[in-house]
Amino acid sequence: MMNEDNIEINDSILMAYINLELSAERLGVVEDWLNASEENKRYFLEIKKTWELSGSLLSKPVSVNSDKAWQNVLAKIEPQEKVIQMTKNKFNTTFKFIISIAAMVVILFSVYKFSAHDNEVSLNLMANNSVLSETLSDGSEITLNENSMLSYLEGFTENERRVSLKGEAFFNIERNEKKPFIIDLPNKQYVKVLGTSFNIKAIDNDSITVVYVSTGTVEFGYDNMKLILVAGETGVINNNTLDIYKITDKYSEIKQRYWQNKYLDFEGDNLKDIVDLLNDLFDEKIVIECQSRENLAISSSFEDKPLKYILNIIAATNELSIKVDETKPLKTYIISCDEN
Amino acid sequence: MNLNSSITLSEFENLFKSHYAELCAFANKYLEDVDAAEETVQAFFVKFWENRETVNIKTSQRSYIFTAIKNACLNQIKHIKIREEYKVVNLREKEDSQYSVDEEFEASELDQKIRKSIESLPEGRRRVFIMSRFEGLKYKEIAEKLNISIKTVENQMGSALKYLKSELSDYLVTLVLMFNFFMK
Repeated sequence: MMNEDNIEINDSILMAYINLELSAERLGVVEDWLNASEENKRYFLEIKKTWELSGSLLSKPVSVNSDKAWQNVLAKIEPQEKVIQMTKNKFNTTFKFIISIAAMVVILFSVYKFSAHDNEVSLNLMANNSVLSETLSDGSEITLNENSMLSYLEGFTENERRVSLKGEAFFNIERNEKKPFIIDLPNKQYVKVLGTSFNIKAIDNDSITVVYVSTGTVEFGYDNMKLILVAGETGVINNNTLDIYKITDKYSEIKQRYWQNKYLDFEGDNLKDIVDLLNDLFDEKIVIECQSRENLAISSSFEDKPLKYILNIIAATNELSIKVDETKPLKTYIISCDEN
Repeated sequence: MNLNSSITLSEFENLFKSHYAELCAFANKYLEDVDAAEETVQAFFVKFWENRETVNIKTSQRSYIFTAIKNACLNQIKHIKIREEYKVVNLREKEDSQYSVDEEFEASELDQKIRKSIESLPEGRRRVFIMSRFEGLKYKEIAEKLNISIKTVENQMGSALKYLKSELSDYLVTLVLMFNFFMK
């Protein structure tokens, strides 16, 4: 495809034309060529459509080098590989799997039999992408949040029931005064109880560890520092400063247990407090535009409802309206005064 | 019983290489930082390999991997507390996407095809094409960044487009026919 000015019409020049990269002279040549025939137009259209189509991807491709990245990964996994092989030689390893509760659950439930102690079976319970519940051999019930792991010896020992936790879990411990229940947490922290229910949030890399007590009494601490927490109290250890203290927040119970029971209960709470709480619990964002009604008292309870539903109920019963702004990075709900 | 215990290193390598670019793009959508996205994806695969004997995948491998990457990204965002600031230009999450996580990752056939075509471009051409198409850079800026001539950029764009056009020809016929119909 050569024209009289000796400027070749090819995919590159047509592409440059689409990208507005042509000089006036070459631009004129391309436009003449386009007007010359239907066939030329059709050819150009194919290029243009390809260009448009390539931009329709859901996530923009990024320029990465898979081979180089693979070398990085390989370097990190090779030493691990050796450790795993050695472990295999020492122990007879078997695996058991629990049936998942929800579609997205990935559960790890592995049983290691140590040849040295025939009766002791170490169990790891791991919830990856969904909440997982388990009853232990002593009758205690444990609900494990996503990305959390619990390890323990199946039959416990004679004097104590000891488990270790990484992540978040709610415990409902069967009372046994002769055998205290002890939960080892990262950074040598621990929780010790006789029989009670409480929530522990000890997530790797989080700056604080939080224990909330639902019923009974709990001992929470590290080394020789400790707090005695009673029902309704929240204890915190700051993992950086090692400070240990209690906090009071009227929404402690909801905040610490929402992941597990998905239950919200408001009795004459004001709109602003509720919105602050919901912003804490959900990934989306809520803004009150109708500031004159921030102190509006609201009574309502919800069990396992999406944020949209909760807001719509609150709005419908209180002459407010909800707008959704999807242009924001986080989907944003705007609560505004009802215009009517 | 256990889906992964038998995965060999070379199968793992295939899994990694066939998903890497797409996962980085996906993570970048949340993190808006290609380096952080690459790090996140690599860290996931290292962990995946370490746990290969014990991770039991109940859902499709694809949605498992995407969910894990998404969670890792959200955790990072939460952690560095930039949730408020992060801009997701192309994040078109559906109304109740958290209740249909699977759907979100089920890229259409066309989406997959476009992505694979771009990924299979030779590296130089791919880099130029991505910079122009998805980073909105002018030819001059691309030339400067890659230390090549503007003419080379133009040619590489042309050959990238030529290749994509032939790869996507099945989808284009319909579009072009429709366009002609409305033009008449």
